[in-house]
Amino acid sequence: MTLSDYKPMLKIKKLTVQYGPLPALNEVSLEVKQGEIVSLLGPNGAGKTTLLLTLSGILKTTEGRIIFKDEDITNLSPPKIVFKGIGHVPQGRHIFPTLSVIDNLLMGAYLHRNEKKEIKKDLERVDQFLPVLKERAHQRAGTLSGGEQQMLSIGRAMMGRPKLLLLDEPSLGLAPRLMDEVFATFREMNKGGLTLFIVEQEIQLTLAISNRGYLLRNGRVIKEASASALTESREVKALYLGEDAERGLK
Amino acid sequence: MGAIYALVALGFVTISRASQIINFAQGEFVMLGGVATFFLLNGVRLPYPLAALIAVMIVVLVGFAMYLSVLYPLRKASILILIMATLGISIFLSSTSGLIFGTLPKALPPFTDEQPLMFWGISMLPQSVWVLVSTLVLLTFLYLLSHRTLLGKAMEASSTDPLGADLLGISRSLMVFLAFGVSAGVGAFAGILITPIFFTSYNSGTLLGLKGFIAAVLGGWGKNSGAILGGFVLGIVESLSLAFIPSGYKDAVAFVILLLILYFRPKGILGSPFIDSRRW
Repeated sequence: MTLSDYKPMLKIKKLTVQYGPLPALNEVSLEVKQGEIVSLLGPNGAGKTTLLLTLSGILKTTEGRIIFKDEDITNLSPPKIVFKGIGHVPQGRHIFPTLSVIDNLLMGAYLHRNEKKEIKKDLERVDQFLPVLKERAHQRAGTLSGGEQQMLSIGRAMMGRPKLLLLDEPSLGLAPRLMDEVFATFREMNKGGLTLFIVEQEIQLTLAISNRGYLLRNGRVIKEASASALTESREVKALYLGEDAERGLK
Repeated sequence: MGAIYALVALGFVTISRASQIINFAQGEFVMLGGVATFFLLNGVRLPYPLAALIAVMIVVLVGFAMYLSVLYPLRKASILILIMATLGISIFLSSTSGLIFGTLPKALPPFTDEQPLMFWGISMLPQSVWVLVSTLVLLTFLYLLSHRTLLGKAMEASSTDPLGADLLGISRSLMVFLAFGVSAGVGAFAGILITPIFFTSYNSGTLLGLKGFIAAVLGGWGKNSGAILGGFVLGIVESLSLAFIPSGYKDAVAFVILLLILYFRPKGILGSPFIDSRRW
């Protein structure tokens, strides 16, 4: 099966988001197909987090459309978007430190709170992917280590039964060994049928598990390519090495 | 008295944790609870417990209405504007109550007879015992509500990490709406408990509200446990001050405490999650 055989799941058309007078995103267009892992790379301040927050309905767009599974979800409220199947693992984890691990997970299932049986099944599925959460189920989430909190944040988003999971810098603050573990989990989740859209600064690891990637700079998409082509591309190498190297390459 | 301050402080904290709003109409909930019960008891001639229950429900509805009519439309405005709005609502509620129910101070009969009870040589009014016991029951109930039910946990989640909760589809507006209902209910409950001991008139909410606010700051702004502790400490200090200074100055004691706490320990007795301790 080649990439073009995948069905489109998320389509973003000419999305513009204003932060004050300046556009944080400028006519960004991209798409994510069902079953893919797509990465979004770019330097700090490129607008990556802004894009994800807009997809989840936290930020509102001034222009452009967001189509999810043939439905226009532009500027819908966050609960509606979660309900349609877009999960979001925010940058900095945003777990609830005073609640227990299991309560954090149950909060993830908040919109399905009346379906007790399904929630139990979902819990088992999450425990399977992220066994560490089961061991610590009754601990306060604030007492977990950084890596465990990241796992919790991912598990919590999975409790909402997403079809598409948005991951914002999941490697941030993780030890290298943990990063490998987290990315292996992503690959497993993807094999289980989940579509992933990953925003990352950890370029190598991300491209290693991605099908395709986009490069974002100053609020614009400057490159789209398959993961392997991106790994070799001049722009991505420049991203590794910083702006000076890019000038040198020119 | 400490129990009452604790309840008012708890009302402040509940709303502020859900929304960062400092609700200066909190004292009016207390006043309305007392005045509405008085009206239902003497005007409509309902039996006492029923009057009290309906009064609490009315005040909860007032709390909901206050959120829906004023604060929800202003939800995009800055916190300062929202706080000013609650001040406006406070004035509105006390004046309206004065117009409808009259400006004369009102007193409710005590829940049971007035023969003082003796505990190990300390005499207490039965009503004071009622206040203490009901406060403890209410606090237990609120604790169970917020720690044992999914909705309570969702409120906790939304107040500790609003963005995280938003991304899971937990609606912040709904949580703030519920917080207003709970705060109004707790306030009204306090009003009913206190009216048999002190008179309640249309303008007594302001002072009670301010003292509840002081109690919340004293205990540690933003913490339920702090609000309760602060309430009792403030009540006890106020009563003890009567032994040393003329009773006319009693109300000033609370404000002196507020100044002292802001000078020397702004995060309060138990510490506050909203105030960065490193700055002090």
